[in-house]
Amino acid sequence: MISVENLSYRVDFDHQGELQALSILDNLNFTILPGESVAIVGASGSGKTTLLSLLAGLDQPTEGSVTVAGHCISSQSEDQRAAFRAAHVGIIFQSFHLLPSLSALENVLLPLELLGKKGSVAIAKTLLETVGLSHRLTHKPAQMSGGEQQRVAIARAFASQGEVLFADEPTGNLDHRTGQHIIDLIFKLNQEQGKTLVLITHDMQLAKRCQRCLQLFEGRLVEIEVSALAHAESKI
Amino acid sequence: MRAFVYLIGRWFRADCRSSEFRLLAFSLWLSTSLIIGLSGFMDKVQVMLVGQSSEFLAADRVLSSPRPIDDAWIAHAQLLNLEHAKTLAFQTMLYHDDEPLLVSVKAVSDGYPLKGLLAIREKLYATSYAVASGPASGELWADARLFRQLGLSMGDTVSLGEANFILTKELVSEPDRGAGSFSMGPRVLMHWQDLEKSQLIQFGSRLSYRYLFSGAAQSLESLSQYLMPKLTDSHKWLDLEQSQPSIAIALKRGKSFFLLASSIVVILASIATAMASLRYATGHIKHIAVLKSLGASQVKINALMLGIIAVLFVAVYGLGSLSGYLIQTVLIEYVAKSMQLPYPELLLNDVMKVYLLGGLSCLLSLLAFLLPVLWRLGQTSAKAIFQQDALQSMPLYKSSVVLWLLACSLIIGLYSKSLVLSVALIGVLVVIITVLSLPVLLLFKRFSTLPLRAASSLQLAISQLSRRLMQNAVLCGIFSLCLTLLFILVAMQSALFEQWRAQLPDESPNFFVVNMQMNQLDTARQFIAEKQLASEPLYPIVRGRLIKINDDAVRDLVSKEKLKRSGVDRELSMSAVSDMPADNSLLEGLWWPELERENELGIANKYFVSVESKLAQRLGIAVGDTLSFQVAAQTLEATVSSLRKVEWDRMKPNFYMLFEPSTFTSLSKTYMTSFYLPEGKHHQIIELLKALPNAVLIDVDHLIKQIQSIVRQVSLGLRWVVLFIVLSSLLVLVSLVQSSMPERLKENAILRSLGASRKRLLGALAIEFFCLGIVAGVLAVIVGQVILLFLQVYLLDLPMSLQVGVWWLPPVLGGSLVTMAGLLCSRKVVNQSPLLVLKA
Repeated sequence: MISVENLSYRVDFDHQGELQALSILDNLNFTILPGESVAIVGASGSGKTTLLSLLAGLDQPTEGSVTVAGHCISSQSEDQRAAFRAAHVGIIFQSFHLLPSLSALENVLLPLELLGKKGSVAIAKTLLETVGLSHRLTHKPAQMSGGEQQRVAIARAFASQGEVLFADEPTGNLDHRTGQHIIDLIFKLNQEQGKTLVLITHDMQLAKRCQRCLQLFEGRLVEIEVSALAHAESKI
Repeated sequence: MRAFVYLIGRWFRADCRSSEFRLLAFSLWLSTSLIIGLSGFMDKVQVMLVGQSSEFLAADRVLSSPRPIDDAWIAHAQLLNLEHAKTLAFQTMLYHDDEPLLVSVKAVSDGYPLKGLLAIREKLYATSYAVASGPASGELWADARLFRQLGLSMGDTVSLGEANFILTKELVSEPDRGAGSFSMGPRVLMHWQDLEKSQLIQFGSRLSYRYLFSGAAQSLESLSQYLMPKLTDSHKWLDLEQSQPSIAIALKRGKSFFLLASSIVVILASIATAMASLRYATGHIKHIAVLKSLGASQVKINALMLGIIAVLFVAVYGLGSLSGYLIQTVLIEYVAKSMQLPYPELLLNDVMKVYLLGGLSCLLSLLAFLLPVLWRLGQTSAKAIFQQDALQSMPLYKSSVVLWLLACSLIIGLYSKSLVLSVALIGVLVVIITVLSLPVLLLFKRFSTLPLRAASSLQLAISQLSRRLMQNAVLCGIFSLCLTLLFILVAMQSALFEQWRAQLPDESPNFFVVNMQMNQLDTARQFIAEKQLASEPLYPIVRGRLIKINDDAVRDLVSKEKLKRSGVDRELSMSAVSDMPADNSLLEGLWWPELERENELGIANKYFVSVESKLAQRLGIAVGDTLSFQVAAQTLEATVSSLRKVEWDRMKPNFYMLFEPSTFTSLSKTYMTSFYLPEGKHHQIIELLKALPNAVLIDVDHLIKQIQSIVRQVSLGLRWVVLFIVLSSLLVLVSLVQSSMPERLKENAILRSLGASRKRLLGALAIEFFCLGIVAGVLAVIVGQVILLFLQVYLLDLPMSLQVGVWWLPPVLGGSLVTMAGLLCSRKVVNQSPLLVLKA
């Protein structure tokens, strides 16, 4: 489902008037099979979110290739990648990123309307019902709790009905109990719909629930046995 | 496609709930409404004033000719649905019992006057009343002078040429009797039909035909275009400006005042729109990043933006047209009611122009202010969703500012139809913002070296002012601009306007008495003293024609056309005074006292003349030139001793040529004066006329009232404009404060979470806004005063003066308004829970 080859990502920065390159990701190679759930863990600043943005086609690598669902997105134009995201990808962000002026229903409708799907209102309502928010359809993000906002974001991510779901620290802004509910919901829906899940987290307990775990350290990726995580610290 | 249209609709609905969008829509709506409202109001006032003033022409347009005009021209006017009438003026002898008298006859056709009314009396010196048509065939209406000089009574028969007429009315005034007719004999009015039987029109008679036309402006314009190629030098196609320059000047000046003031409002509304557009775009960076992360292509994003612009245009233009219509209706009704004038109607074409102008300016604002920032917004990368900084600010590019200025110039140019006004105002705007930002930068930069301290509200405010140095400089520059514009308008309303009013005070002379003999001067003086009238001096008048400049004949030096335009192709009324009239000012040369010394030094000529400067310029006359005048059978030679500037629009006796008093000693002369006779005492003038049977009375009361009415109507309109300018300034203020809101919210939330009290933060905000307001106010006074001086001299043609009386206004208004509006807009900063802000 996802194939990454020789993936590198560098950013240029100005150091005392001299342009220097900072390597964020360095020559990564890995594959993720369809239906797999994979956790990417690492300390803050290790490049987890950068990797997710490259896998989801939000950004382009400096070197190497990324192929998702048969599309080599690393060589695609911005518009082609946008079309790819609309059709194949759902993303859940740490800070929800719901549009504050739209209601819960309208936020979930957004990807459906971008795809021009018929019966989008019914689909969006069903999704909100699935995440337990059928009574909050007309509420704005500001009128909802953090957990509820994230549930709307999950419904939005599933609305596009793509094959891959990316979740960037989905519980990072939530308390432990609410976080647990959200994670349960993501895994439940993912299992029901058979999507490939890529979960960015620094919570080892959460990573344990995935089938595979990849750890980013100083720009490189190391695969960790999930069974070994049982003894790991709860947070990196 | 359908889903996408729904998306645009939903997006627009959601936008309607956001404060940034509401501010943008409100600014655009205000600017569109004001353009439609004020330009419609201006057109209607113009129609109202010109319609009212056309009475002085007895028509809308007049064609004067020494010969009858081609019948086809009249037929063309009829085709254009224009009303028409004709008059013929000439001088002839009138007889009563074989006693002759030179009279000035005016034969009028049916329909005369097309505009205005004739004033007549049933009996000599009885109460006059107005009528809308001239005498019937066989009747004659005559000036009181005719009755006095021939000892006639009402009902007497007199003969003109081969026909006899019955005197049926005393003619008091005609709407189109100019002030130039005072040297002629008494006026008599007869019907056009009687011209043939009287056989007065003979070959060689000196005749003045006037063809009067009235009707729709468009038809008049068509007639004008039809006639222009056919007219010769002997024809004059007259409108109000040519026939009544004093009214035309008042109308033009009134329009300048109003246009300038309302352009300021339009500029402020445009600034608010530009600021709100930027704020709207900044508030939508996250929206675009989210949409892109969800898979929206660039094409779809662009289409969404254009869709929003289109829907916004339709909504704003629709609402703006409605409110613009309401503004012009309310304003015009207010003015019409206050001035007791009929409600004016605009031609459909003119109405459409007003709404088209509103639509164009609205579209232009959207395309120039909103589209570029939305275009940049559309370029937001999807990865910006992970970059908090990228989601919070949108840089302002120089190219955007240049585009804003161009758009602003274009909008003002379209609105004012004056490139000079548009460029001057926008130039001033650029100068103010850049020049005013500099001292603010320097002033607040002094604080930037101080460490950040939050021990008190004052320390906190100072550090806030210095940390947001650039932002505060721009903010202060724009606040200052608003205050400058407000200062200019208020100063114009209170000082410049009063200055204009003062030129024509309520007690301006409303009666001119001319043609008095020297032995009648005591009678006139006695009348003026007894009635305690405010009067002008008694001026001696000598009629003379300028024939030579130095040794060259005027006709050889100056073309016939130029001579005619200068008004020196006929006899001039010249006077002699020892002191220069109060309204005149010396531009070049010396006045008489100094001249005496020059004379002693051996200047050749015995006599000296002071010439009106514009005439001197047209005829190429300079100080030291010798002018020769034909006065009756004598030639009068005088050296030009000075050039004077004369204020022609002040309704006082003024002269192209002024001599020193000794010049007229040996010449035959008459005298004139002018005085103010209050309303209700006009009948007293009859006493004077009875005592001075040969004197001619010129009543300019109506003319003065008309000019004063123009001043009052402009004043009434300006009151509303001040209201709009305050509203627009507040809108700009809100836009500016809102643009700094996200940063303020975050900073204050951090300070509150660190233990700063609400009171301290509120105090710091109050001090910060107050300082910005005061500094902006002081700078506004300085720059505003400089601009006012420029406007006085170059645009409004008024003498230079400082408006010290309103210097207090910008700092006081700046301090209070900015503090109040700033605190009101930023109340969220201290009221919202810091936790919520930090979590967001």
